[in-house]
Amino acid sequence: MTDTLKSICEQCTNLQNPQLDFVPVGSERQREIILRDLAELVSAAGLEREKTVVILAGCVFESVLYLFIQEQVGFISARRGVEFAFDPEQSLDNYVSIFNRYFSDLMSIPDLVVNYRDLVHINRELQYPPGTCRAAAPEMLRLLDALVETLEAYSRE
Amino acid sequence: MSGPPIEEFARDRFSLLWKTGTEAPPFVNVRSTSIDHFLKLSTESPNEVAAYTNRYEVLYFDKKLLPPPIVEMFHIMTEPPGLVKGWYVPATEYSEAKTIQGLLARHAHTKCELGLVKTSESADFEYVKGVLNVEVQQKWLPLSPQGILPYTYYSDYKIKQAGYFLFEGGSLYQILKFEVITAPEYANRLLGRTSDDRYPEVYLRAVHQSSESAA
Repeated sequence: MTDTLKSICEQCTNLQNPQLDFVPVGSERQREIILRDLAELVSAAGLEREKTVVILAGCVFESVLYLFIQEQVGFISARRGVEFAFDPEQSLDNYVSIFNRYFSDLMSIPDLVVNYRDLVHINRELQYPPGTCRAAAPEMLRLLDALVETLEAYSRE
Repeated sequence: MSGPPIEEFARDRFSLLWKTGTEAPPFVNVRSTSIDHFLKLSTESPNEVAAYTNRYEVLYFDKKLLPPPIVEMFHIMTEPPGLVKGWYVPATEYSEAKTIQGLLARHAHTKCELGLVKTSESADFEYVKGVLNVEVQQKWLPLSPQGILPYTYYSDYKIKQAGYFLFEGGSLYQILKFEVITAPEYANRLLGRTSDDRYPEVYLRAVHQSSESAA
């Protein structure tokens, strides 16, 4: 018997009990947004809402990377040797690209995260077999849990 | 560049300070053209594109838009040699499908979600061992022991749930086991390497059309 979304989410301790150490001091509004979305994500997983989980997990991926990259502008500039200007108007695809370029030693975020988040569009979902959201939801939960854990550990170093 | 065909090289100049809204030095000179035009020139008038193909650095690409000759011309490596790409088929989907063709019909038009670089194969092709890859920034990179944890094929295996890999072309394999090995020599066969040269190797057994009906 395959795990339920509820049981998978219960194993994602970083989603259940987020510390968000990587959120900069003074970004209380941003912290509140992520905590609210994580709470809704856990709730949706508990109710086995597969599409909601996929889309909301993608949303939190974007929020987390948005904040983390903003906080790491100085580090990225130092790595590049020229100033890195973060454009917050960019998309999840760009955030993932920036993260993978400068933080792949921490974790590589696969392209499927963006593909799954794009299931929000019906024309994208129609390109996949039926049941794709059911298959994508557990992976989105585990990948997001791994990202949050990685960034929290990095922030504590 | 993609978009409407351009039958010439357009010349532009951009300030490197464009992000600050400043139109001041230093500038970068850009010559751009359409993929179709560049491809045509490369076969009909190679001298006209020699300046671009002799000394270059690929800063960005979108492989969905690039035809194979361009990918080869600029040595854009997006996957390791011998990579076979496909999809995970959970036991429930496998038991619902009547044939491999039925599984292919469900998946073939969708984006591949995993890749396999075979590291050994039995003489009768029944058993295969290999390293799983996933697509990261348009490149197929090997999974690490940590990196494989989020994927359903691995969690299904951990709870002793049967699982299958369907590959482009119609090969179907049952997952037998995963085993983490240390193999620095694999770095030569893969596009990336894990930080400690450890890889979760997957062991597979071929599933044939004749044995499907037993499912």
